[in-house]
Amino acid sequence: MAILGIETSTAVCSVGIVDDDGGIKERSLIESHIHSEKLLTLIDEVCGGSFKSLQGVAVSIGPGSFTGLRIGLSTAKGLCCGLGIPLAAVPTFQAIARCAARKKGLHSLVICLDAKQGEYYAASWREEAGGKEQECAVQILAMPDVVRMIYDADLLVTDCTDAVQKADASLQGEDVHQFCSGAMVAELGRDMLESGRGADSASCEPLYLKDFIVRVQPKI
Amino acid sequence: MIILGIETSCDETSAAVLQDGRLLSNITVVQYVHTKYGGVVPELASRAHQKLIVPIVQEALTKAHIERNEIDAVAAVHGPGLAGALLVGLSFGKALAMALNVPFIGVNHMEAHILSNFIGDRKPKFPYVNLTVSGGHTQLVLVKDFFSFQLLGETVDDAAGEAFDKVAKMLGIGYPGGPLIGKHASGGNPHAVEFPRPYLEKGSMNFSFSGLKTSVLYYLRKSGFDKAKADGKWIADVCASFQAAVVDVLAEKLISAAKTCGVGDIAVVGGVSANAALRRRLESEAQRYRLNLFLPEFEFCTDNGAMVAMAGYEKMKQGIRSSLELTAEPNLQLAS
Ligand SMILES: Nc1ncnc2c1ncn2[C@@H]1O[C@H](COP(=O)(O)OP(=O)(O)OP(=O)(O)O)[C@@H](O)[C@H]1O
Ligand SMILES: [Mg+2]
Repeated sequence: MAILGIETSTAVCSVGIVDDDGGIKERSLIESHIHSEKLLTLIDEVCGGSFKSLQGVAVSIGPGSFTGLRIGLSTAKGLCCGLGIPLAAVPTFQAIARCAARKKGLHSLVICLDAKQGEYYAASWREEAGGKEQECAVQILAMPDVVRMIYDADLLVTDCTDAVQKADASLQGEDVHQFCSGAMVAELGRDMLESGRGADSASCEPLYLKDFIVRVQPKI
Repeated sequence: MIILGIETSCDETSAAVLQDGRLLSNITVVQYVHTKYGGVVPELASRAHQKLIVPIVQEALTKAHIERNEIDAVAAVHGPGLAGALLVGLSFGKALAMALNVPFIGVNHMEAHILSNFIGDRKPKFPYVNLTVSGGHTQLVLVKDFFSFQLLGETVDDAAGEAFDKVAKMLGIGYPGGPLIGKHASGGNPHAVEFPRPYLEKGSMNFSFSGLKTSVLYYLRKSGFDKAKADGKWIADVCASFQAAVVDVLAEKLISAAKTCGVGDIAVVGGVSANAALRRRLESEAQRYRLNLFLPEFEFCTDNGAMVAMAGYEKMKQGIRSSLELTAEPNLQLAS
């Protein structure tokens, strides 16, 4: 199955494709606020101008930047509708974790992303012998709770090293952006589609995780 | 030529299919999530568009009996509007066009409103004077051709629709305010309260509604208005009197702009053009000054995909295409 993967949940805009014979292509840009402009250009590049062999679209579903997730999912839906192919909604932290673990040759890590207003999206990930992954449940936590998680892991992957080090100066983190990979999203999406775990492109929503609370009443 | 038009700039999710300039379908969902907040909450609007975009587009295609591979171009609004809301329809539309290998056309929402008068069989002739009265805009525009506009004047503060919404909120009659004020006003006396008519300096084609809104507020205070105990007839009188002030200004400025520009056709578009009192007044003024008046059908006054598809169609005919790198522009202006 040739699957296109879209990863726009952070400042990275990354697009990858995995094809039948294990071939992988990926194009990424690290720059905020260019996702809406550049995403289709990157998709065109990895697909070589033709969607003929494409059998599914996988999108990094969140948590992450609301704007980034919106662009990624709306684009994925447009492609799925136009091509009549299925959608896979890939958990963002699972894709990041697998990418980081593979690149670093590690088996346990913590991911911590800034969720603003003193909150953090955090998850610990572990791979057991035989490659079985422990589910990567994302929580919204305050920094002291995140730090406790980090002590048990081999690696911290984050976009907010400063905040982590403010809580414990001895902690080191790896920048998350190097592990945001469209190709990894494609790979996980292919597994999901092959095992019948596709998403419904009509009703699919990003995993916002944070409920949106309306704080201010518009004034007269 | 079959055009799919997509509109997601504010709190309506809408899609329409147009074949050779003839409308085959127009499906609009007005998002209800904002009602309890008394105004549009941008993040909630974006989330609602995300849930609605595919079902709405699919329904528009189904109702038009059009298969997706029959579409010749996809048009979507890229501004002005709420950034997150625009991004949903725009990203979806661009990707759909790319997948179908057909042109994508980015549409200016204000151009689209103006073109809502071209949806039916009876269309204005260029040049003509158009008044756009919506939730975010109040503009007098000389329309020289489909995409050639001269801005004659606009509001210096609140938009007309905004004034309706704010007054409705003061009166506690609900949201969205425009249609509700219209409803209450129908049983009221328009001469009950003499609210000021903000004409600005003589000959000005600009508008100002914030002073009028404040006058209503002072009147409510002076009268000891209490939402809980307000009398229905009294509210109807205030609504009718406020509405009459707005209608006077809009009608007079439109007619005088038509005279200044020496045109024979005039048009009104945008949400407030659905207002019954405004429509009635304009019809009699048009007759009196022998002008041809063009008003959209109610369905096309507020935001809709049909006007976007119409703009897309005219752009296609002129060979205008957009890049797939087009991005949302929340403050996009009407091009001159
Ligand atoms: N019958 C009516 N009488 C008066 N006002 C009305 C009526 N129906 C709708 N409106 C007003 O029209 C506005 C909505 O119009 P529309 O959808 O065209 O605006 P918008 O898309 O929010 O703004 P814009 O087009 O400027 O970006 C609201 O302010 C609403 O109160
Ligand atoms: Mg509008």
